[in-house]
Amino acid sequence: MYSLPNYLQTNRRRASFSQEEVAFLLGMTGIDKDRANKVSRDERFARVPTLEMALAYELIYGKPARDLFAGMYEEIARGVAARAKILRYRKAAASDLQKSQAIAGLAQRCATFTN
Amino acid sequence: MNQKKNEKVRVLAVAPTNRGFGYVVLEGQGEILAFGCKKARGDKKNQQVLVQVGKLADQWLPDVLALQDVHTKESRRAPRIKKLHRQLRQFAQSRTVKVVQFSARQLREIIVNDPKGTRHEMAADIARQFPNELAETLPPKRRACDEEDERMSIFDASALVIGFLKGGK
Repeated sequence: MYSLPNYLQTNRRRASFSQEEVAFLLGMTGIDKDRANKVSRDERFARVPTLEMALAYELIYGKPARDLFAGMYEEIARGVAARAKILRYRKAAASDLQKSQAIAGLAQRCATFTN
Repeated sequence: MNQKKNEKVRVLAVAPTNRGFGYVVLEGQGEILAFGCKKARGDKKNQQVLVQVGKLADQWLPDVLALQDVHTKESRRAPRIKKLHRQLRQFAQSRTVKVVQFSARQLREIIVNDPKGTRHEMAADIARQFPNELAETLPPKRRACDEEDERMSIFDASALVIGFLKGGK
């Protein structure tokens, strides 16, 4: 099973915040209903939050962004893993030991998310 | 969160009632992601429930749908509810979601270790297992003259996910 793209709604309910309150904490502007709609769109995976928003969510819910956006993180990791494989293949003949080790380490870190 | 796939399963449990249904979404070994009850009114209640369950399935992408087994000999559920369970099974099959079913007796045995335990005893036990999520939702014990609190459907759905976790059917 893959993780959900994000766990914002679950964490918001655990923290007993309303969508309006979270929107306020995120510093969103506009009338309350519109701001709440933006939070709702984040929670329904209809919108990808910006890096600034992701870090704000991390602060609000007290959980690392990689856990809050677990599915998105896994998807990114799978992409990086696939590209790391290609890069390792391309650089196989290269004699730069440090780079080879960095690529091998990267592939190992991402291996959790690949099949 | 960041685990290999297949290490955890997301379960959507649905407990239909005469006025709608209760649901619980659980992930892994006991993390409740969402719960609540939805209402269905008017003539086409089953259709309304199916639409709402579809929306929940879109949002939570479950691997397993947990339902009550209403086709046992001792089940006294209404024909509409029995039909709805058949429709929910078909819905799950159309989305390649695995269906697990537990009879009321099985759930009582799993949760309170007593086939004659009451629903309130089961609900109180479940509220103790999930104090942060469900303790505040536990309705007061029903008197004979009261109609059933709709929040009980959340505990019926919770019983199904616990049945899945402990029974592993």
